[in-house]
Amino acid sequence: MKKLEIFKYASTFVFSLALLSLGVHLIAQSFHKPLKEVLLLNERGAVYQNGDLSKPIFSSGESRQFVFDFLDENMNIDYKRLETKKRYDIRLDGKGTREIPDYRDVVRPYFTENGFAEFMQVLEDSPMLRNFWEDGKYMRTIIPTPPQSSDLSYNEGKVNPATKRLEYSYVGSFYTTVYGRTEREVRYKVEYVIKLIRVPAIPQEHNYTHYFKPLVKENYSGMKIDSFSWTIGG
Amino acid sequence: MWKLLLLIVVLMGFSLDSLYLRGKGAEREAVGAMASVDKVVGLHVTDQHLLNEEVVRDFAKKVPVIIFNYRPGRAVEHANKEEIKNLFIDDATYKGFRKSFVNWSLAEFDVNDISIKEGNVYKSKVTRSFSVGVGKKMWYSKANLVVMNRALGKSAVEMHSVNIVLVFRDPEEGLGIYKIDVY
Repeated sequence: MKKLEIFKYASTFVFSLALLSLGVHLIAQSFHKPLKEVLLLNERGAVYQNGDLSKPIFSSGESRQFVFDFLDENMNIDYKRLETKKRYDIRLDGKGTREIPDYRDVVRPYFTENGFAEFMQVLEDSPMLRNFWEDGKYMRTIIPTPPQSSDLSYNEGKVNPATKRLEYSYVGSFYTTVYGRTEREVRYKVEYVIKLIRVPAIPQEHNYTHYFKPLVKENYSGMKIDSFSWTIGG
Repeated sequence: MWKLLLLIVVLMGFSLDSLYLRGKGAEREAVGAMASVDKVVGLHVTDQHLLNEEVVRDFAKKVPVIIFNYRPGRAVEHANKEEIKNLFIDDATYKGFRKSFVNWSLAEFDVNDISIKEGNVYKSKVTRSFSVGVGKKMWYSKANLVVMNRALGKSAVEMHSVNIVLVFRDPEEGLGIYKIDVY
């Protein structure tokens, strides 16, 4: 009988201890969060590392190549690729239907928000887009020379003290010819000034929305165009 | 009866702990599954060289841009950079390149007075090739390079064709240049 009593007390003690330890464990868990390493992977599966935006992650040549690639890929515009602003705004409201992305969607990843607004403004105001949709026009561009630093001190980039970001400034020129259905083709010499800024390389989830290649290329280079201006000559 | 209840509570607590709470703070290990040899190997995710067609294409385009953006008068310092060394698959290949690159650059500086070279790739094509005993995988890359030669008071554009043989040996050595020719 006494043995049974001892067993009774012992079992109660063991169960209470287990319950107590669980309670302590749960309370401790709520106060103490264990250090957890979260690995963010970018689109290519590489580990994303947050960096100092005043330090370059690319050489001066690579940033120049970024400008060159942007102009080479995106300065051939036609009236089908670029919708009118009115139609684009309708589509933004979710009323229009079009599966192929507009030119604006394609170039947007290369720009900061201000840079994009500035670029679209100078493009819409340019003589190249005069009667663009009415006459079914298209532009073909030739870039004879690579972009050059606007100032030799910009060669390795400069840190803007206000934003603490690395900046590059490039100047250069290209020739663009505008062809139309009824109007004669006109060739323009465009002299541009482009300012690049360093941005964090944001990791993105990789969604396969395309079969052969993406319709809108993402920009994972770690730089964006912050300012775009041009002077157009005949 | 209350002991049974207690037992259920304790078991549920331990299940919750082992299934959910511990997993939250557990260390994670990255592994790669190799179907060909039926093996699972650990990966060093922070320094592992990833390899796919896109990486090879980007690398082939990046190589001429990194090499041909420099001051010919300081070709030795440029060629000695770790960034340049790391582009090559081995030391012998790098040394061969370094010798001819420095000679050519110093001639450009001394004879043609070129102080800055700024190169951009405007067309780059990469073709997969058979590996002829130099690595596991091999690619041929052909890039058109536009170089702006800047001298004191004048500048001129020059065109080059850059042919590169890229080799992948193993995950440790990664991808690198086996041969580079500039025309």
